[in-house]
Amino acid sequence: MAQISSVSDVDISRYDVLIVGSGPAGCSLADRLSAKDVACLIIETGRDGYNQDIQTAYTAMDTRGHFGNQHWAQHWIRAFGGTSMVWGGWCAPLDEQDFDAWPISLSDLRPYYDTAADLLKLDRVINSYEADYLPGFKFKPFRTVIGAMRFGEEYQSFLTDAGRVDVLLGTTVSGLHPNVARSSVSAVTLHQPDGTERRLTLAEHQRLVLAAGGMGNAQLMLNPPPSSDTGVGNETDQVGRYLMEHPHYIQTAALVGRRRLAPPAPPSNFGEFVPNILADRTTYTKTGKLSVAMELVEREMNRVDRVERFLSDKYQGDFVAYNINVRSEMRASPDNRVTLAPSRDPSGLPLLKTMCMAGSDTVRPIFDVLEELGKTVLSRDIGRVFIHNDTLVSNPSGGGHTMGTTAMGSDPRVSVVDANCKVHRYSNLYVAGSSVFTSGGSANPTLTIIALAARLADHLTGAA
Amino acid sequence: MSMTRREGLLAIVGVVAGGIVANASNFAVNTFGRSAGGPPPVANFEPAGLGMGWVLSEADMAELGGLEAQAIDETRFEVTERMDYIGGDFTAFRAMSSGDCAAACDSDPACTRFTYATTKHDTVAKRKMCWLKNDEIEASRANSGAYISGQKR
Repeated sequence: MAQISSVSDVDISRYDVLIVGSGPAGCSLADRLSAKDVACLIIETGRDGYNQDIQTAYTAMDTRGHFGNQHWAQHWIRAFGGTSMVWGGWCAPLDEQDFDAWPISLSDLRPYYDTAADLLKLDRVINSYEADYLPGFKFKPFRTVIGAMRFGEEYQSFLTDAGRVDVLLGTTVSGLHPNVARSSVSAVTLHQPDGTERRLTLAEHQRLVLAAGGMGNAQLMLNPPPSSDTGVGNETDQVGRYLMEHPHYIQTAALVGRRRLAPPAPPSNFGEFVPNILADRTTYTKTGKLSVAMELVEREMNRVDRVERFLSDKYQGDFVAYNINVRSEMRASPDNRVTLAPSRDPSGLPLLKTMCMAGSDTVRPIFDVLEELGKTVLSRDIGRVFIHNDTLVSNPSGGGHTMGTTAMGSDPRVSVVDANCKVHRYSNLYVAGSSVFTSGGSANPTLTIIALAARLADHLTGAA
Repeated sequence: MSMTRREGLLAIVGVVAGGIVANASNFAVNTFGRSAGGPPPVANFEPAGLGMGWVLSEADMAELGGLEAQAIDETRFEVTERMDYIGGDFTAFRAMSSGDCAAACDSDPACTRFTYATTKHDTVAKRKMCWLKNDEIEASRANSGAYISGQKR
């Protein structure tokens, strides 16, 4: 029995770990746990395949701020495989400095980045390769994948094999019930659309992992249990805060000049890539400590532009032009947050409201990094940088990356989970996924989500 | 209503990709003519002052002539004030001055004529637009106050 269809058939005593959600976090966690002979149950609201009715009923939300009305709901996919259903497949590890605000460092995660690359069937070189570029900058490409892994298809074995993982589809975890001391979760409520509801009591040794996405994890922990006004893990009012995206400012700048500005090429085993330049640690510190990935996209010379004509003449045809697509870190702010809306999904969970703005503490450092790049090429007279002001102050698009809503930290007053992804105070409640990101860097989050899930699996089995 | 999974995914991806396209059009050049009868062209960008958005040195500024409008090189173009060539567009963009528009035409072998909309144009979105054209123009309209046009000599 690998796929269970009714909550009444669940024998909870069979499992060591209950995982809420079947996206890259939940599936990769279950994959690694089952390899260590730990029995898991994955509980997923959606079914095998995308269903618009389920999607609408469970993710409708009130949206305020940047990125657009449908943005967050469109990247919270309720299906077996979760948001990997719409994943673009881009992969890069976070940088060392991206962990400055985290209670863990890049070195803690390095071995797990390799685990993540292995799981995604990518060469481990994607985790180590970077190259020098101009002084103060480095070249760090994102690995791109045509036909990104769909975890629902990849982990069909969870549905068909007898192994150590069972999957309960079409079922929503609609409530977390704390013990009186709020030191553990004593029970969970499961709900199915036909109205079936069942409360399962957790045994001492069992662990509950929320892997329901940046929105879903916050939703479960914001929702107060009966006869309380405080959600489980939200005792210090931190759940749902620090909501982050990667603001995308497409064609917001240009770099033109001598051909030596061409970015290096990664080794062939790296695979397809997006050529990004980033500030090195020194420039990063000088420009306000925000990770800003600048993709160089070669284009024709803009003949109408007086400066480009001037440079082309000056360099006597030794000339190349790039548009710059900025994909940036977004500064974590407690005021960018997810809260509960005054309506409920079919399971009775409150739907969500979001407020998220990329503020001046995000946009100004992007200007500063681009200005610094401009000064660097100007002082060597090898090129010039153009900054398109109005694009950089407009509503950015996003990457579909929902991060930060159950942030990791050592201080419970300003975070939700500890360095082991365990919810503060609670002995048996953990979180997997990008909701634990303390800061988001500029790299696409999926590789880090999988690395953190692998590390959590090792923690749960005592291996880390 | 229930979609197939593929339809659902395409719906999502379509919106996402559409957002990127919409954003890119802020800056995209060479995407709009004006003869198709559609809505007025979406502005790409208004050249800013001084360095026009570029990070430049004082020496650069001196060589570029700062904000002064570039004059049309009349040894290269036969210039007609208040002339509007209709059709024959192959690219359009916003330019600092009629001189920049002419220089762009001069540096493009495909270009034989240009029309430039001055800052007096009634339609704000057309002000400072530069249309590069070939000889396949459909008409020429004299006494169009808000335009200046040139033909390569």
